[in-house]
Amino acid sequence: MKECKNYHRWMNDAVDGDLAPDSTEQLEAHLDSCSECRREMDDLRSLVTEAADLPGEMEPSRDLWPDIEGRLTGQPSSRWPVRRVLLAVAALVVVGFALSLLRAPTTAPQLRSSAESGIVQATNRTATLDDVRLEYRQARDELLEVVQARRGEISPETLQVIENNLALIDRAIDEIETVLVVNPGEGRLDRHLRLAYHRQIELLRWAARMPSRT
Amino acid sequence: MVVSPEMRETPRQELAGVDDRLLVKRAQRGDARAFEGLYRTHSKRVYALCRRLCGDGTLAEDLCQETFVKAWTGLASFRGKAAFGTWLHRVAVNTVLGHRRWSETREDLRAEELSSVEHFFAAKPEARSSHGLDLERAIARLPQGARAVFVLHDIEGYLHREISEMTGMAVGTSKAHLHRARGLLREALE
Repeated sequence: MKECKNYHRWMNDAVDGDLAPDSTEQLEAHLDSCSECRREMDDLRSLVTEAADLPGEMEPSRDLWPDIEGRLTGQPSSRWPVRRVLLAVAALVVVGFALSLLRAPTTAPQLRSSAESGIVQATNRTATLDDVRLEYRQARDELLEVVQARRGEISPETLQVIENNLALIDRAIDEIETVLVVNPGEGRLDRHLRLAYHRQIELLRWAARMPSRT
Repeated sequence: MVVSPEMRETPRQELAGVDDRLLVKRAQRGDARAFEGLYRTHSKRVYALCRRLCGDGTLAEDLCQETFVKAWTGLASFRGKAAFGTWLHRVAVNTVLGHRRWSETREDLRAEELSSVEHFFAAKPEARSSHGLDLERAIARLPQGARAVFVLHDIEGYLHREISEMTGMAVGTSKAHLHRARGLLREALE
């Protein structure tokens, strides 16, 4: 005979209609003999019914349309995202090509472990996008800190190139993230986003390891 | 979307009672007034979803706005396979769950918000029982994961499989969050 607490999962499954028939029979037999669990089951059913009956609508404290409308006029046409995302992806290719021309510095400053190993999973399709995003953000923040601290050691021209490319990748990430929110199932965009994360970390690592100009 | 001045917008007085499908078609051609019609029809449901998911009224208003802006931007990809409202709900869920500020919502901020829960019921007080209000308060107090799954499953009617797709959590984890949420709510309402 199961203990009462072991029936709780079954109670939830039963309320959701997910409990197998033989388990349902066992649960019902237990409920017939246990008033405490019967009361719990009744409470659970009441809660689920009450939740389903909660009002489906709520009134915001103000009309949000004027603000939304104001943002729409500055937004691209609904046909634009495809073009913009394609441009964003093209920008990544350009940045990737530029990065391939950059030689890895021979005397590299030591980076912290997460910045060094950050988003190693970026191109690993088995890692979830959320995991990759988390790793990317951590590595990016640490690398930005390093690059920021080394600003005085990098020539203004090089710094400008780095910042321009970072902005380009930022825009690509924004574009792809926005479309993924609306269409989360877009597999190709998922890959492009991972690539964008990877490119940005590559660029930041390169900048963080640049030999001093002196 | 840039609203072309020469593009004829649907006059506001013509919006009432217009079918969603027609409004979507017009909005896909750049008619912002038609999109306003969709906003008027769906905004309260979207806001309710955002409010319950994030447990913060001000943030929910921002996220509701964000949902409609993203929907406008992505409207070309809406093919009409599902109802517009269903698609919009998915956009809202993704917007809330993907929002940095949602994941950073502090416990004290949510606790502060609890005192202003009543204003949500100002519109139709007769339709809300005091028990319903207690339940809303208790939902807002739930831990984030448990709250999200409870709202999506028990209020919005999503299946665990769909919640898993939206949140990236395993179906078993979704069930565990739901059971925990129900247990905590029952304790809170006793």
